[in-house]
Amino acid sequence: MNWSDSWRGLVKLGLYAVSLIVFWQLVIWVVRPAPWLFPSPTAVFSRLGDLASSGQLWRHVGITLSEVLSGFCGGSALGFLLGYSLSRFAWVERLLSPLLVASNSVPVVAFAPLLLLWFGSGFQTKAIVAAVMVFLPVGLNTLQGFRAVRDVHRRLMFSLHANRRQIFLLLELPSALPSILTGLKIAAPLAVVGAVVGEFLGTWEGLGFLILDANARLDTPQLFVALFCLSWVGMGLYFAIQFLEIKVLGPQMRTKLPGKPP
Amino acid sequence: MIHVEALRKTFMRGTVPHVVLDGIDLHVEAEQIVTVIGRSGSGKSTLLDCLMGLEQPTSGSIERKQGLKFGYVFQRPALLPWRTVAGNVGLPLVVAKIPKQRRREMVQDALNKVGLNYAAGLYPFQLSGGMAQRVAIARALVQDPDVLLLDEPFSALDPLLRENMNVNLLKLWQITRKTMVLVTHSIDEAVILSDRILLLEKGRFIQQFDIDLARPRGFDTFKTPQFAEWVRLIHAHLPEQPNLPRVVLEEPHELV
Ligand SMILES: Nc1ncnc2c1ncn2[C@@H]1O[C@H](COP(=O)(O)OP(=O)(O)O)[C@@H](O)[C@H]1O
Ligand SMILES: [Mg+2]
Repeated sequence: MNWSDSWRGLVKLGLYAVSLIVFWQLVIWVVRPAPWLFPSPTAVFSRLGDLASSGQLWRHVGITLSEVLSGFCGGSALGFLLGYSLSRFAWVERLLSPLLVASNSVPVVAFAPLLLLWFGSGFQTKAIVAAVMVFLPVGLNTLQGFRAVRDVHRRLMFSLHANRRQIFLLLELPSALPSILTGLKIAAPLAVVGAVVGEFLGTWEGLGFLILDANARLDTPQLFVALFCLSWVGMGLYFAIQFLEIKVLGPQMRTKLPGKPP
Repeated sequence: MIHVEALRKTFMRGTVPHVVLDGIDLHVEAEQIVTVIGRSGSGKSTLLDCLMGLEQPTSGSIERKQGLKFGYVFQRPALLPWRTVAGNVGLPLVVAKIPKQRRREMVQDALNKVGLNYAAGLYPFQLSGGMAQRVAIARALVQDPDVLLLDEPFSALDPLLRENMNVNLLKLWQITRKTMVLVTHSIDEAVILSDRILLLEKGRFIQQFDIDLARPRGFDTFKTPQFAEWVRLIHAHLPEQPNLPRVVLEEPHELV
């Protein structure tokens, strides 16, 4: 994976989207579904135009995006700390692992009503639901990353008389990074799920609200607009992490593409 | 330079103490190449760890000349895959907080000694096994240590390449005159490189050989009758290995 690869990927994605829209229009012409069941692309795009020009759309996207981002960052940071302490301190693992197994077997969204009760119906609750969603995947991938530090490399650092901080920065963190980034990629769409679930529990703004509002008024084009925006938020986050991954792991990732000269 | 007396080292296996080194005496003088041979599991790596101070002896004494610096070459190159060759060689200097400019010079100097200056910008996955091990040697040399400890440095390489590396190491010694303590289980390698060979068995040195082959040695030395004679003699002194064949479980073979 490198830059020209990811541009080519982007172009492919664009072509894919265009052909999907063409296909969608064809289906509409042939099947002629009721507009409130399955609207045409033109109806959706004109609704998109309305919402965008009135500025409403940006407000809702902005709200949801900031819920997603703050939840994602906060949850990931805590997940990182969890994973690192689990790998570093045996007592933390003994203390927490039954709890983690137990909480992992409950769908995390089921905690949402409880969080609403604790934190009210404001912005913070949505961010917290998103954070709860990403916490474990990031934590477990971080743990796996730190556990993968090789013994020879540890012996090497000891033989150089590296201190704790140097071992962390020069060996452990770079060793764990690929796994941590994988965790972040898994977590990105989950953060979006968390924020929307949070909004479903009660709100008057955000893309989740836009969906509920559209549903109540049978405004299906608006529903589609909201869905597309959500997928853009999720994809944006995903590609941002992928960008980071290429930046940080560039030289290492080339090892995974056999037959391609670096 | 290094004087070891009555060194004992035991590891606990569960609650049972397991004696690995059982009364080792070892004297290494400056510019000497001393080699320890012995079967796997006989405690060779443990001995090097004790010399370097990575492991504390259970009893006995290790005297090192004041301020003696060590460079350690591990059995596997142990290069960090996310660092370039130059980055790997410079790692000890980063840990020692040497300023960047000085670091660059020292790295270049060390890479010169192993003939790998052209590879400074490569990543470990782009190196052959022999190159990777030379990078590891450059890394051990970069701080200009007084003593080089080499733990089966070439055991992962094929025999031809291995002879090549032996000759390279001899050349390196001619230039730098570094004191070396080497561990190997190749008798050829031990004879071609060493001034003295010690045979480790059951935690003790059971035999010592002072190799009087003239220096400088090189490829031609392999062909001399004296070389063959030493190899034969040492073979004759190897203790019988009662439980052969036996399976040795090691970590999976990896070159970098
Ligand atoms: N840190 C350790 N803890 C417990 N036992 C060890 C440790 N290091 C080595 N040993 C044991 O000491 C013995 C000698 O090991 P080692 O010095 O690595 O042998 P060699 O390098 O000659 O193959 C082995 O039986 C090994 O299991
Ligand atoms: Mg060993």
